[in-house]
Amino acid sequence: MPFQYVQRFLILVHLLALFTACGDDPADWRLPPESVPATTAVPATPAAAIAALMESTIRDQQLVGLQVSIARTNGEIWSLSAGTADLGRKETLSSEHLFRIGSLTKTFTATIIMRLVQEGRLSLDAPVSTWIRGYPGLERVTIRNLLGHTSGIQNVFSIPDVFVNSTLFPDKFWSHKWLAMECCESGPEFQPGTRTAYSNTNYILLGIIIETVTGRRMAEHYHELAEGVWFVPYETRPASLVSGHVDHFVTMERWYEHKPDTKSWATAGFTAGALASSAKAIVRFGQRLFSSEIIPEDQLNQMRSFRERYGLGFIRYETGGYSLYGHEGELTGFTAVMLFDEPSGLILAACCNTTPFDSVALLGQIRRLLP
Amino acid sequence: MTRRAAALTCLILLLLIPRPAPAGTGEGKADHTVLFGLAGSSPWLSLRYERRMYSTTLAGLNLHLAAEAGIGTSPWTFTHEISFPTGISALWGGSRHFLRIGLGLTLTTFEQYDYWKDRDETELRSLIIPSIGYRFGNEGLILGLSFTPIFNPGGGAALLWLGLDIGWGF
Repeated sequence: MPFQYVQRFLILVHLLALFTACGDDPADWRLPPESVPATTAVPATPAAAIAALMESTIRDQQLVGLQVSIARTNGEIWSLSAGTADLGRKETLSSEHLFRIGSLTKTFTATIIMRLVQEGRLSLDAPVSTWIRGYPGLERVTIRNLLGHTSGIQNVFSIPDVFVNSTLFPDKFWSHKWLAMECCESGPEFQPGTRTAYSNTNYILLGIIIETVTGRRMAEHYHELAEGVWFVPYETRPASLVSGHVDHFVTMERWYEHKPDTKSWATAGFTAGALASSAKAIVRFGQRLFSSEIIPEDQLNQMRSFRERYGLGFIRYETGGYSLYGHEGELTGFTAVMLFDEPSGLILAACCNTTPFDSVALLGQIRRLLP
Repeated sequence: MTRRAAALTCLILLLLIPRPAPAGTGEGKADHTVLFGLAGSSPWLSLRYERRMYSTTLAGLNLHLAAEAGIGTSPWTFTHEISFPTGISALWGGSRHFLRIGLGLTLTTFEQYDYWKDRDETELRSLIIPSIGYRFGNEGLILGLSFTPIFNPGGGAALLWLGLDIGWGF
């Protein structure tokens, strides 16, 4: 008898869920033709096509906001923003707004490491235990292993407790040292150097090394490295940081509105994923990096020595019929990507305040529209 | 929020103070239950005592109102919080099969890292955990499976969750 009532209740819940899902409107925006800029980086015809692509992507994938920036290594930067900065869809997005960039942080962290290697303060092939002590197993792991994801150290984001606690307590400030220690103590998943496996813990350890060797906080390093990047929540939250939107069933955000910004996911990532920036600032950083302004050519060549798809701070992507390299990032509610097309010298970046979203595929489509 | 949650926890604990047993209905009356829980009201393990406070009939079926309290921990997992799950629930059904609807309040310890001082501080947080599920058994072996979404109203967050109980009614 009670099962009939359970069944009726479940049907009611299901109908309510369907009703709520149908009520979601995509962002209602249109780019007036005169607002689409044309530059030497992006001539008028592709610019209009990219604007149309962004418009249809926002509409079809129900994104909140999207930024795209494009430049050649030595040219001016073309930028376009669409959608809104907030989930209430009241504040129009501009190219100055900041997004969390998740794992794209790794390219910035790797660049700082390469600069320290260039200065002779670190060595790519010496054991990590030379610089930081007390973490089990690091005697057999080198900085090159960490940069290229060949260390075998467990990925901190693969641990269910990190997901549960980061989701339930958005204000949680994780101890990156404690997270790294827990992952090291669990033992390597394979012998260092024998294969590749993506692990955020590698880049958390690199951040610990940088702070230990230099005696300076990471926020200072990032500011020194590039303009328009913020290491939040390790420094004051900039007002232009937008809200992220997650369409994730288990966090019930379709029915229960979460606080728009979280410390928990960013601090769990530390130097593997806590930076915030804009597509324009990312491309500006890319111009300086790929034109050897930050580190010399031989250091850059080390970064793009790929094993499988992983370089040192870069990942290789096949998208839109092109082989591009750079890094993508995702942190709950945010996606970001920077890709470099070496033959043409084009640097492309995109930031979005919605997850899930395949930003690499979007840049592949955009690359196809460009000469 | 945590003060209010602590006050509510105390109220629920008051309901568990021994007093004359309520009038039972139906066969196999068991007013006391000890439950071992996996997930549910306490991530990840819990040991809880449940006491029936009132029993009646509704639509020809037995209806028991109960209160519970216990302690939870996560000994084998990554974080090692201690939690204090409490709650009230209604069990509605025949003699052995029940629909269980509950509302739980769980206080949990919480480690917060201070980056600038490089040290952890322990705080107490509260979670609201409604539940709906199936309960098998009355006296003797008890089994339960519940859908237990977890809400953190203070933090503005929620998570879909499930709970599995095994226990003994006496």
